[in-house]
Amino acid sequence: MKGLPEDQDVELLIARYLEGEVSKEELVPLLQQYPELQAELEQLESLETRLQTLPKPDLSTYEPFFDRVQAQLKEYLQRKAAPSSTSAVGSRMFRGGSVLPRYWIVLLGVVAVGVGIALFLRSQKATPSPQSEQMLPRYVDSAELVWELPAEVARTVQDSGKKAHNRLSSKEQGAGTLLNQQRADTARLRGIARITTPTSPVSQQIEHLHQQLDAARQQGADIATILVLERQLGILYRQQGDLQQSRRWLERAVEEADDAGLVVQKALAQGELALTLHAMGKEGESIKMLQHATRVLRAQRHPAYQRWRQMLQRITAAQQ
Amino acid sequence: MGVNSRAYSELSDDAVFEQVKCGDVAAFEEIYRRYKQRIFAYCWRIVRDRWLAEDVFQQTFLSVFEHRDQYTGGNFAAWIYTIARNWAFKARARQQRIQGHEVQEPEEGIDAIAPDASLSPEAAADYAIVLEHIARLPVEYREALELRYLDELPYKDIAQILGISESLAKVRVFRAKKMLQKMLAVQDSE
Repeated sequence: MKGLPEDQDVELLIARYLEGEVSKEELVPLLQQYPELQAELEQLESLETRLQTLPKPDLSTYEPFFDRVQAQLKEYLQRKAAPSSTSAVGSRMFRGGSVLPRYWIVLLGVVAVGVGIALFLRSQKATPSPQSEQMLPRYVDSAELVWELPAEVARTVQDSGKKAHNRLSSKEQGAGTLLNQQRADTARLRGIARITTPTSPVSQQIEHLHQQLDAARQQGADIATILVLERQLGILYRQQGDLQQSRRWLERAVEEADDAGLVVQKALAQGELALTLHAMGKEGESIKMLQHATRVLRAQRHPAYQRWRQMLQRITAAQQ
Repeated sequence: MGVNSRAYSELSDDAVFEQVKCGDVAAFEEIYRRYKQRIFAYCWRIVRDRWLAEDVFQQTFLSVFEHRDQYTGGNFAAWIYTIARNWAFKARARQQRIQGHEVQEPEEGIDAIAPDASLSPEAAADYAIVLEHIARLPVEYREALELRYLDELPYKDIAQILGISESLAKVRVFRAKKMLQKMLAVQDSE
């Protein structure tokens, strides 16, 4: 507002007037001092009306998504609904009480162990422990929970989840904290999330790759091997048309490569991620990411550079 | 579990959520029904990516249930919005790290959440113009303005979600409106 001082009290007074909290009489001194304020107020009042009558967005196209999430949440909640000792612990931790000191000690212990593991991993960047947090997904999508699976598949799911849980370190399993419970849940969900329909050859390859990835982690394979497998999973999910899963696995590969400081692996995963984003219709993001990946590969004189450069040219030409 | 699901619609958020704390799944469904559209639109506005918004949306409701015991009553809307905001910013930051650059404004356009189809073409165009200008505001002002006019939240809730005082929330909305007014005036004069 031209001429008006940038004074928070003055702005607050006008804001309160526009909200109908104060009468115009209270603005009189201000209007006398700044006559141009009157015209500005009228414009702002007109804008106020415009803003208040903004129509609500139409989210009807998202209803199938909302329904799907609701069904999946319902199933999940029915399993978890019984008041658990974990949530009780969480509650007591935040409200205080007799249980507080004991759990704080446990929590501090877990944090100390976590810091120790983090420092160790930092010094061993290229060969992280298979028991480390890197085993767990950083991002769990509850929509991927396939509760409506047939009984035999559901059993496989549970077994897979149990295996994932068992791979947690004894400290992680034994701490008995909310944090631990969440990790166990994450591991279980991960087991569920990886089930695919074993009908197409691609699905079988995906399942096989998941098994290979599990085995590689259990045997403490180096991070480069894990990244290759994750990248292949992303590619196969893209071939299968499951772009969301493809994106998740490739993003995970990018993040883990970044953590490990493996620039070439990161660039290769970014290249594949760019293709998935392109398939999702995100051309702009895709091109930027490919440009970045090709720059890195060229600087490293990597043999894959030519392939990715051609891919970038093709995508850029298609967009124009 | 003593409340009939039909009766939930007459209860306040806090009253329904008390039932959620007792493990009532139907009560949680009522909360989901009340907030699904607003939370999804809010997530989308922050992450500017439909796929990411879907993930954040699910994570928000999962967190609401997982941390139900931490809600001590008083302002449910602000609580669930804060959870959604935290997840959305976390997802956005992660996305920026993965992509190696600042996430751009939406490729799908702000109208990826389309306005009501029953609107007249003029009203729909006006809606699109206003939203387009809102999207260009500095983030701290845009957020306050959107919470006020798109989510229709009271200043008390906005202040709680943004972690600022109620007075500052009002000032931010006011400044956002001033900026918006200027932008629209320039547009009208062209």
